Amino acid sequence: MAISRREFLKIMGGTTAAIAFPGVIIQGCKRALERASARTPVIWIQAQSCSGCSVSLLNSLDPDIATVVTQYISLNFHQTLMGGTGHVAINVIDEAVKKARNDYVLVVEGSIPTKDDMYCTLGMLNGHHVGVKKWVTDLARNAKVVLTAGTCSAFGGIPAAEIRANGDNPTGAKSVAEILGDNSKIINIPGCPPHPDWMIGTIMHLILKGTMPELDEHRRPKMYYGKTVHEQCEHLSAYKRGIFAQKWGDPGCLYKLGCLGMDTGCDIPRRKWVGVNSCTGSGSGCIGCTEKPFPDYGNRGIYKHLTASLDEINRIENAEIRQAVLNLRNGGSING
Amino acid sequence: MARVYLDPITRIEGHLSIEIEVQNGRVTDAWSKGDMFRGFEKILKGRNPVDANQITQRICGVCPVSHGLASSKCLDSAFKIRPNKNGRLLRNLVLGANFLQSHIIHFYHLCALDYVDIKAILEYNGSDDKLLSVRDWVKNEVQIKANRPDAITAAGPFLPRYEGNDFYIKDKNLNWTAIAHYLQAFDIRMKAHKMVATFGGRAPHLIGLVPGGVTQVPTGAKIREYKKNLREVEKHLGVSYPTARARFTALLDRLGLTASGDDEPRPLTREQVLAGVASGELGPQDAAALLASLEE
Repeated sequence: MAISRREFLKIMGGTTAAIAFPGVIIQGCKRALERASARTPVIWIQAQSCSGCSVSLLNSLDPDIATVVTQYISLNFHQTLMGGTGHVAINVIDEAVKKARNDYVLVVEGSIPTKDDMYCTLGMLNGHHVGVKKWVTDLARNAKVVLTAGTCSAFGGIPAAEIRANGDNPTGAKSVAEILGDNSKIINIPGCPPHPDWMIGTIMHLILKGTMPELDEHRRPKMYYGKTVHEQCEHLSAYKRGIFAQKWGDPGCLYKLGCLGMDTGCDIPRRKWVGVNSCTGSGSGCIGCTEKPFPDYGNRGIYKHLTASLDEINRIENAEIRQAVLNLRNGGSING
Repeated sequence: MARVYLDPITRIEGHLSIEIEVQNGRVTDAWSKGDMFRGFEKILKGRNPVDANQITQRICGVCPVSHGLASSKCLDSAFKIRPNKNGRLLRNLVLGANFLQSHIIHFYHLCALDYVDIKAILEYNGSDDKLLSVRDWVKNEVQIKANRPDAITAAGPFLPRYEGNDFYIKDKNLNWTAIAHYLQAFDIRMKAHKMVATFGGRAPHLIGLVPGGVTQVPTGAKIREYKKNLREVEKHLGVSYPTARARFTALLDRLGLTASGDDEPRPLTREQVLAGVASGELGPQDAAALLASLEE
């Protein structure tokens, strides 16, 4: 198996950002990959997820997903891709638990319900549906590294969003770290969805260097989450000149439309989604999906306020909706 | 009486299990069960309505555009906003691109492995580089597994699978072609996602949808990017829109349902209205109104 220096740079940094990550050492990579020819097993479990992280993984430009699966890793279990179904599929992870190999990477997508195992089950053992919580704890025990793909498994994400009335979430959804109680093995790859480079790049770092990448305080790889969106934003020069967009479609910095780029560690403005567009570049602003408070941000929500002017709001015919919108505009929430 | 459980059903979006009751070799009853609950309705209650189009998209990572668009349209009508032309066109382009993406992933990557025999690749003797490397990969994997009793699976995620004589396609050539297309389709599906991201901001889970339209102004470069990818998807799938449309029309004709020339429903003829009254499908007042509109 051979990998060129250029290919390696692409994997680790994405084409546009190849020069930006001095932490990655190129020397000896070829040999390291050859050593890894007995490919690292990867077990990918989907808990309370939307499969968005998996679909995003398929969007990997370079290397493409077929190359990753056939040359870099050994993807033993992945609900969306695997050929086996039913007990054939479940036997794979059941045996992985029983064999207690300790060199595999466990990837968890989606949060884990704690109020009742029935909120998310995966397979049957001895005639009983098995809660996904059991699989995650059992598999994590022997895993070399636990990778959380997406904000749901990293921090709770959408399933753990609070019900506004009581501050609880419907299923007691929790992040993997909260379930395991020990985060020393965990690498968080948040994002809703995460960029494929973040997931594949982190796995490649583990395989090639045999160590964890440098992590920040939320256990996210610094090479991807170290800088904020704002620092790398397409509209940074407009911000510096004080040009702010007032409504969707305006040129300028999107801060006044509720962009969360200043508080969000993420390199999308430079890396681009599927190589063509970014959240800020498309004029929508950052929704802060790689950060812990997503999507609640306290009482703020994803979008700070409706951008309609007072005149426009007054034109809303339904009095109830008009009042609700006015409340929101003044910084309140709908329930009070 | 025997019970058969298929849990989990893989290669779908989401979590599903099937329970089948079998008696004397015949299925007598069956149940399907969604294995996952998140409570979106409860989560959405009491939030800023504009957040809804971001939250509802997380229902499904394969078809987020449909959910996001439905939510945006609800907000449009709640706020009594009519999307402008730019918003309407870009929303449709994004939705169309995601249809393409959705159908490709469904047919090639989710369904195909139920029919295609991946092991047929072991006998491949053609000259396609990609297929040869897949053949070598499967061979190596199977050998590695023979030498390592602690291996979890070989040639994952494609193996293991249900084995049996009647499970998979037997024609070798068809299997090889199907495997080649399976691999190609990864690239084509990604191109469809490029189209989504070009006007939607990102894919999956659009960021560009807002009540009233989209956040983006189309530029020449973006339109070219969209067109370029559309052409490549079209080339690989071998169907252009007019071809697809002609095929559907032919199909409808054969079924005895003549397709109308445009997308608008045709007004009923006088005879059809009278027949409707006779069969009780139309009330007398409705029929009178329809006839009056015909005479105008």
